[in-house]
Amino acid sequence: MSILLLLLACAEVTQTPACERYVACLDARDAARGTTTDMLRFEAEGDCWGTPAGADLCDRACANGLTWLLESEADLPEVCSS
Amino acid sequence: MRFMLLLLLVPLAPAHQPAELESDFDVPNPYISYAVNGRFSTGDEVFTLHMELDRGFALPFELLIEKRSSNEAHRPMYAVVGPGLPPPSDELRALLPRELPEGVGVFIDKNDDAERLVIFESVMRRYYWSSDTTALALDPGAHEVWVWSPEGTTGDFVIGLGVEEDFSEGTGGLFASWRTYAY
Repeated sequence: MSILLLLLACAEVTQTPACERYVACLDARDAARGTTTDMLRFEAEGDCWGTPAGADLCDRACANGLTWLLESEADLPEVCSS
Repeated sequence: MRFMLLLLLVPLAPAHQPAELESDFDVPNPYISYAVNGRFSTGDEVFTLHMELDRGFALPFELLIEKRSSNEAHRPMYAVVGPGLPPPSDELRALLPRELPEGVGVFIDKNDDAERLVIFESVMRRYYWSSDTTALALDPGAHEVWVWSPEGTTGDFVIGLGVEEDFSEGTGGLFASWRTYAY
């Protein structure tokens, strides 16, 4: 069990599906609005994926951020709701 | 072992640059993370963070309340106010503690989920109730974060911005106030 706990603690942290969707949505939204949004921390190579704690925080931030965008903006690109 | 398993089930919060909030706080660098501590002494205060973004930026926000029985009814709200955010519905506008300036929109976290998320914060080493984190895609320009106590409850809070750990600009005097906020 100790080894399992150690492995869990050392497991590689990678971009989560929620952040992949959030980044894709913001990319498409930027293209539609003609804006640029710095979302580097959430991208696959971003700072979010340094520790499990940071990754968990980012995962929740992306999921909730996308939900709020969908609730608050009517004309989002299709990729945001797919 | 049971304790270790319990720890694995509780989300951990990464460390932020700590700071203390009297009533207003200028966020020196919004591109790193902050945990800004404040205290409602009367319950009618409105705390304000100011930040200036020189580019569009996706920034996560989270409100934390230390998990203890005396804080069970203490559920402050926060709002992010700035350009590019949507105008509020009449229902949401009525929640705000002050008039919304012309030309800006708002995000409001009512912090009223029946099931409250519990996290372990690794710097203060305390359990907190979290409003949960939401990333907001903010446009360039001046933004404010308002924190208020809609039911007039008193007690401490922490407003968290960002993700990355960075103590290069010091600890904001927080550890000198350890007894104020950690106990």
